Amino acid sequence: MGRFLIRRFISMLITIILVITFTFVLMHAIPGGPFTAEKKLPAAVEEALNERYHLNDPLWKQYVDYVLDVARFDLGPSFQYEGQTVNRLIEDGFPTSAKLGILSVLLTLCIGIPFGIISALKQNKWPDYTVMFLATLGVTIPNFVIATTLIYVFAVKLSVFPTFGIKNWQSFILPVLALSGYSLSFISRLTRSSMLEVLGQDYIRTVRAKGIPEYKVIFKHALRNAILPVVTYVGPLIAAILTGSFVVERIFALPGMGRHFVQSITNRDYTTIMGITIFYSAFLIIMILLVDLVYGIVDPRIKLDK
Amino acid sequence: MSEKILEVKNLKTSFYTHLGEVQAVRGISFSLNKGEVMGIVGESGSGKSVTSLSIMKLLQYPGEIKSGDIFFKGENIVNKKNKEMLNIRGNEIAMIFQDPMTSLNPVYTIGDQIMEVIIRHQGLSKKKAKEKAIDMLRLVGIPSPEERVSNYPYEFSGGMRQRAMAAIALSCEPDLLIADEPTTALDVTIQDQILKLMKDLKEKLDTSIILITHDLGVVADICTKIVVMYGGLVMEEGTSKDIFYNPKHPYTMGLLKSIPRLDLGEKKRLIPITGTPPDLIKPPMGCPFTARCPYAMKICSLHAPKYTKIDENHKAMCWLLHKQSPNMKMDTGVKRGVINE
Repeated sequence: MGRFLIRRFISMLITIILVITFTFVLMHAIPGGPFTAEKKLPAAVEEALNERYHLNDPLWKQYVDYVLDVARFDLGPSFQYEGQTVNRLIEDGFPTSAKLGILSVLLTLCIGIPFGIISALKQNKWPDYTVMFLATLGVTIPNFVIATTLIYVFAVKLSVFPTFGIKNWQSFILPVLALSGYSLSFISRLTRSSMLEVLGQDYIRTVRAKGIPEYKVIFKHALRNAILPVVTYVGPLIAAILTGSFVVERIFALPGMGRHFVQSITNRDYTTIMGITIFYSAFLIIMILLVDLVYGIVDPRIKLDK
Repeated sequence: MSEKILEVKNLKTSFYTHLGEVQAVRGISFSLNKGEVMGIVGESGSGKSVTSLSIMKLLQYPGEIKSGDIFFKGENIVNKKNKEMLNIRGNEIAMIFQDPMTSLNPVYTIGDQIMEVIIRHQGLSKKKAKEKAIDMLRLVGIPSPEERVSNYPYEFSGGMRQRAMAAIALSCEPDLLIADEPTTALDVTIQDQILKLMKDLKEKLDTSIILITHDLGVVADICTKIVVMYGGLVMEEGTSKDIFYNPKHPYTMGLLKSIPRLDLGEKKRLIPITGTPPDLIKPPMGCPFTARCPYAMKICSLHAPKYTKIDENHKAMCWLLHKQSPNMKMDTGVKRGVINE
């Protein structure tokens, strides 16, 4: 186990460095810079700004400096938000996004998996059709449509939940629903198909032939085998949901991290682009590591040390 | 010795698919005495496995027992509720399946899977159940069972897994063991070991066994009684001696001729039964074997023959056995029959 973790840690570092390199190169390959605007700045001002943010240095030096900064967990100052550091931007936005994200992931797991199981057990009967109909809707309808529909129905017409901002627990409900619509539906479908496959396996027949009650057949024997594809999907899902969604946070006017993903690129805010990308990649890589560890627990055939 | 453990009467089992009703078993009857080993022989699709799943009442949707009775220890289990069946399955009737590679749950240890059935039916504590599981593994011939008990299925070879399956099936000392093609997926040396094992266990525990196979060679050695199935019906039933030395049904003869033999010399070809089994959605009106039978007559395709009793234990379903049928000289495939006695 120790050796596995060390090896994984090294490969994670390499991945992060590759991510930094690619983002850095791509970012600088696009014409324009952070201080390019419609109204051209006086040459002296632009010069001074470039000087201040070390944009006059040769690219390789900017790159090396940046990598060294990242190694000290310093993601640099934001070019766009005066006096803000990228670390600060993430610290401000991440808690909101994470809160929403955790709730969405919990909702996804607590509803998606049971729905998938029910659907598989009642294959081709009405519960299955209902769940699969909803799940297909959830997968195909984009979240901004879900979000605006939810706002229209629950906030405007029924006025039971607020339309925007975070004031109390009620304000979480609509964004969480909008955010988990897709993943919840996807997990239901995934659980259903995986469960159906496992239930047709010979070893399930063996368990039934032992006279084991059906609930144990399902929860002890079938689910543990059927959950593997779901675990695979949940890792990246958590990373994606917790780092915030541009669309949902925009619509509900939530001060999360999602908006930075898009805004930093249009603003050509070099450090923020880099910072957010690195943060997301690191998160994703850690989640994938967790998925692998969970794999090892759920399925004894997967040996992590080999 | 003549106590009846299982009696199947006119059992019909169908699968209701969207293409129509597949009549997998179309009215079969047989009985099994205590301590007896019966073989059910037939090719794929003849209804052997469906028969065994019907006895276990383990048919999955859309399969259903349509009519008939199954008496187990004098009680009709066809109408038993699932809850009652839970106490019979694994406890009084146990089953070994065809493919040991896929029949064990990959994420639990062999020990867990044996203990599960012991705890379920005998209510032993975990510790006692584990001891029993180790004893069972020793009984089925797994070396160093104390360590092997905590192995996972992927750490066992095919033959060992089938032994583990036998350990699961026998751990509650069932009255009836149904082995559904237990050796088909194994290579011949392991086949032999598994068959020996079943024989030994039968002696030790006095379990009645139904051995399902498509290989007459497998049943020759171990079974006292053989049922030959085809197209969802019993074609011929008799003692192993009857079936091997005095087959009366052309299908049985066909099966006998298609077994490879060591005593025939190299140049001799095996004689296959040509054609394919009947479509059980629209089963033929007459004898299901008509289309492939070398001796088929006009009447065969029109009316299903009745059983003709050859003697007390031997019966066959064929028009050739009828009083008025022409006296044909048939190649029974028998003279080469060798039976281990």
